[in-house]
Amino acid sequence: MEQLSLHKPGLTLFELNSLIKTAITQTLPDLYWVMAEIAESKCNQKGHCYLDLIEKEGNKTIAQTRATIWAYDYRILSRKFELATKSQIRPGIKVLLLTAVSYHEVYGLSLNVKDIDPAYTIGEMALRKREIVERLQKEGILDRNKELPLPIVPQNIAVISSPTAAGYGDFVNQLDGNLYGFKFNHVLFAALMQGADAEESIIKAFDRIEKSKTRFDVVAIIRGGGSVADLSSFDNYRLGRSIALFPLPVVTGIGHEKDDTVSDIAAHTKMKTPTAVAEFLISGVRSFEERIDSIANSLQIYTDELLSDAANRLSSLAGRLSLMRMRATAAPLAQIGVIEKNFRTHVRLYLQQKQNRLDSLEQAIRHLDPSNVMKRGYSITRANGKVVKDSLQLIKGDIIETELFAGSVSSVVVDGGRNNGAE
Amino acid sequence: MARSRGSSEPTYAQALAELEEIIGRIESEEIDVDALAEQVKRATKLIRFCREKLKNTDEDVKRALAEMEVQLQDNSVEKDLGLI
Repeated sequence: MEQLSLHKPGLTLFELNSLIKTAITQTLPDLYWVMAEIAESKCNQKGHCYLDLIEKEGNKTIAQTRATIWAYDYRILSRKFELATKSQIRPGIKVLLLTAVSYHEVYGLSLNVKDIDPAYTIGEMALRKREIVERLQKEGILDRNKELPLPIVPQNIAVISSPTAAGYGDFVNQLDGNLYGFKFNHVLFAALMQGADAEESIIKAFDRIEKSKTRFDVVAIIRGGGSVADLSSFDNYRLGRSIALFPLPVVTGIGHEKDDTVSDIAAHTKMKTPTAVAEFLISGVRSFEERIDSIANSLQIYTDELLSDAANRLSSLAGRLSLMRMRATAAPLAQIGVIEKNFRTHVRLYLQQKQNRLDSLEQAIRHLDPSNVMKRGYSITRANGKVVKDSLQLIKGDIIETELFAGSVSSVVVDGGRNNGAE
Repeated sequence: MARSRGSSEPTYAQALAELEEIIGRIESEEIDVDALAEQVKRATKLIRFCREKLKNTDEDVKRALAEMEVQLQDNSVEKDLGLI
């Protein structure tokens, strides 16, 4: 022992580390469940995953240890974790790990991860999410985006997505292939939709949209695709705040079935999938078109009604007018009839009177006809062709002719005449 | 929230408001038949405007958006995204 100490004044580092290793292995032989936050994570090409685990009290780190998930375990654990939590094993999340404490003479202390309990992370994330939601609520901005009116026609759409995301393709196809033939103007504002940088990238996309916000009616956040989703980026205070305060309504379609993310809660409208977002927008335009159709229909009906009412009023007026005209003319017509009748009677009477007069005149004249008189014994006496009406027209010796009803005689005046009277 | 791009072109909201006003007047028969023709003509024009705008590309918007996409590319979003 003395010789040894002569040659070796102390333990070699390896010896010490071996002692430490033995001590640790003996003192901490079991597997331990450890709660910690992931500060860093790196996976190398071999598929091994190296984590920096920390514990914080406020902003102060009070414990820190490295941990390793070997490639063989990592494949199984990461898949199980992502399926359950919709989050990758990445910095910023809290995990419950089953670990073996190992000590390597070269690499020092490290935790060897054997299992992971997603339930703990889910609980932690839910708690954190609740805290974020409560904070946004306390700040009075949680419902700010919801209070914005939806555009009357959501036709100009700013899309935040990854250009390579399958969900983006679905969204665009659905929108552009809508059955009604509506024209949508959509512009992609490309952003990372998963991983540690997604938060910052999406917030930057919002900033870019805000610069040309007058061009757009609505913002759609679209993601989704085949791979297991990493939604934890959307459970984020800064992103939630950006969405809540954005001046245009935000519609999310970040492709998940379970609980809503903070982004969904802060957004105006949450849809499950990108396709559903497209359908929502199409239905918005369709609803406007239906209003226009219904107005066009009402216009037709009301106008027809108004015109037919007017036509009815007009024809009823026309009817009344012709009735009035008939009434107005009936009396005079009757009067005229009476007058005409009277006139006819009068004319007839007058003519009758004249006729009677003529008849009596004729009769009188007939009585006066000399031949009729002579028939009764009267005769006409003429001297020198002149009718003798006075004896003074004649003197003794005048020859007179007497015309009788039948025949005539000539005579000589024997006595009477002018001589007697004058002498 | 579609915006008017010329004094003669109303927004959807303006067109809708005016249409509903005209329909209201015609429905309540406040309007006389002389004014009707003019109102119906105006309503028909607004309806046609809305329908066309829903289904046809607005060249003005299209151009503006195309410019914007060019600008976005200039901003090297792809670089941000690590796609380059």
